[in-house]
Amino acid sequence: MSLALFRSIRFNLLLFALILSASALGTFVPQLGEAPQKVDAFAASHPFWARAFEWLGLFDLYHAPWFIALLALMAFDVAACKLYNAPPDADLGLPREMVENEEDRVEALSGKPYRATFAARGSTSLTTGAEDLLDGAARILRGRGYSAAVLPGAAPHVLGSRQRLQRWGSYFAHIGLVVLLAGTLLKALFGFEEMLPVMEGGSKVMKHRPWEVHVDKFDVQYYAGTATPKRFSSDIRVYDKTGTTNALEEGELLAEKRILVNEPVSLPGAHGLGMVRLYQASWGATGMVRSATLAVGDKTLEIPMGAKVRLPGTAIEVSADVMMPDFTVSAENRAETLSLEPVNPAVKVTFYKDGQPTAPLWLVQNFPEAVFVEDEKGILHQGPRPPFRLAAVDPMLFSGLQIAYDPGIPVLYGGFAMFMAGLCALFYMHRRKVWVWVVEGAPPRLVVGGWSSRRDAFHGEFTELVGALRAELG
Amino acid sequence: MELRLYQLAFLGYTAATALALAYVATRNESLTAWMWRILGGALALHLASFGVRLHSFWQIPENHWFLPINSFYGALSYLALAMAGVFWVVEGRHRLNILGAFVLPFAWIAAAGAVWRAQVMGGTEIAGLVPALQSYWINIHPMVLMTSYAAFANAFGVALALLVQERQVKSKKPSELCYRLPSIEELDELNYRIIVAFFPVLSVGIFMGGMWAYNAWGRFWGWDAKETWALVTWFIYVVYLHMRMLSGMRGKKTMYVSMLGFASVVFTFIGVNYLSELHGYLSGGGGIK
Repeated sequence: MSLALFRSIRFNLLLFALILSASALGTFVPQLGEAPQKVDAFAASHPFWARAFEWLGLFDLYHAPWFIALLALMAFDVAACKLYNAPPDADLGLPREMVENEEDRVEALSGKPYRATFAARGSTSLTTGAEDLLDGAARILRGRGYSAAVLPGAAPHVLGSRQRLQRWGSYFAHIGLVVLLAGTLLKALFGFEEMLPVMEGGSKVMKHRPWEVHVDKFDVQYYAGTATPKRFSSDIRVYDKTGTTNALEEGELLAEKRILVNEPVSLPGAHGLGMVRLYQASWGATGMVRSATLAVGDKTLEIPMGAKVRLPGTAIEVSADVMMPDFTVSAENRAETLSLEPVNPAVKVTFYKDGQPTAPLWLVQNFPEAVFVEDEKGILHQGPRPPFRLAAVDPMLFSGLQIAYDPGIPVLYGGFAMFMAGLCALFYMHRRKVWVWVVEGAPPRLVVGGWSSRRDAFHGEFTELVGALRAELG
Repeated sequence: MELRLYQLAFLGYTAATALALAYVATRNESLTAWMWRILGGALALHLASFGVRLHSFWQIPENHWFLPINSFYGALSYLALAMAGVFWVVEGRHRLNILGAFVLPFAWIAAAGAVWRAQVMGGTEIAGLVPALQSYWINIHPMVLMTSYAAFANAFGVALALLVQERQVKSKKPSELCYRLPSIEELDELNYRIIVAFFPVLSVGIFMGGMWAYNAWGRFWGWDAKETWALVTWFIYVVYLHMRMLSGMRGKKTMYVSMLGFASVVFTFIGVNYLSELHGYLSGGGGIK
């Protein structure tokens, strides 16, 4: 099977164009993996198109079967093209035209950009003379950095070449790309990704491995006066629970490390292929507080989690357990949070008179004048401004860990190294071939032909080379 | 100080661009000689301004050792620097005279974009890098890519010159411009040489982005809009290279593809800011969801 269709340039250009257009399209259609809320919004405003897009898989375009099939077809075509020509561009002693045209090899060279003919030193004995001439030519070529040899046969000639590795360039570049694509396939087949939110001081077992991840400490710092995070990190311990009989047994300690963004912890993957990596990806408020601080006049009062603290000089106690990190009042007049980031924290405080709780109050740190009383049904009512305000909140945070296993990474890197090696050979190396042979006659003539991987870039060197040959042998 | 130096550099760029365009009309080679000198001065001023920015950027401990290209201003400014720099070197070596008229306007647009971000949008403010960007990769990945972008802008200018030259050659009354432009073959070869030299750079830049993403975001490739468009650009140049190397095509058709490649570069650099929240300069860049 020659697979001619899959090797045809027209077919592959069409395939390229298809992949190109599809890739570009995916950046304009909202994608489920990236922005599911945008997909919902689109579906709400364009119900007909949403159904059509859904059917075509456009909302998850890069994982749609047809898109993957196009990529696979491209990999197949590239492999087919290159394997068909393997070993690449075999080094014939003489150019094809000359091998085919045994009658007149000189004629076969006419019209080629690199050729020269000149009369050689006179010689009475043609056979030994020709050998001497060829040896001399080979010596001159070697002196100029060529690897050159006299090839005997029906038409004895000298073949000289430089930077022959260049012919492998295209081959390696293309096969490297196929290897790279195979690497991405490994992830799709054997890899996984999961999000693991773990509360500070808590632990959780992963879905894809019997590993328990403890977050001993989570820390986040902001640039002064902004909501831009400066750094955030988790001190984690990972235990392998394999073989343990109950939840309290810790198992084997696999890692104990502080992880930051850009500094994940790597654990061995399956069969030694790739790494399972734990990343610090995000964080958020759990809705619980470690402590809240009230300012009463010029005094402050810290309320730890689960405690009731007496207001100084009164019989009233106060507690604070629940918070909203990004507080807002919903359309139904309920307390709600817009996000999990503690950018507009509010705390629900409860007062106790003689041990009896009063209706709880929501205090907003950034808006001391806003106070909401929550009734039994959870409905908020604007309250009068109290004689105290929320001065600080120490929220109980969870650390958002992202765990990813990509067994294809070593293959991917290897494939790319191969691709680059091939590309550099192809583009930055300059392969040159030179043939020299003798045409009988008195005096005999020397015919020199050349070939360059860079078309026109060989003229200067070729002319010089012919000059050197003529000076010594002509 | 930084802005003052940058404004002076911008004046230099403007003067150099004007001289390059004036050369087309006058054929006076002392104009391009001055263009080259003034451009050298503007590059020096620009570098100095960059140095000043670096100094204040590094006042924030988290930013230390990292380059200030996380903002749109910083990126545009670097892009202008790279474009003008690549052209300056090419012109210095080949003395094509006419090339400036086709290349410098792009560097000028990038430089003017930076001025616009700085003066109108107040974008020169220094801010701390978000954790995802606090990586040595910020000094490598964007720089490598923008350097290739700058080279592709040069190739685009050459392609434009080729199209103009072809019209001239085919027209019955070629103007003087025809004699000042290099031959079609030379322009074609130059366009090819630039793309061949910088296509590997583009490839490495994209791959490095993957390596960084694998470190910071937990995946090598995520089909984020910036990544996808970088790949689209890469594919277009792949098509160009195959047309030339495999099918032996030359001239107009290959030039159109090469120009399309640069259009894709521009979209990757600017348009994507409005598509990708993860990867855009306008959202601070490198944000974690």
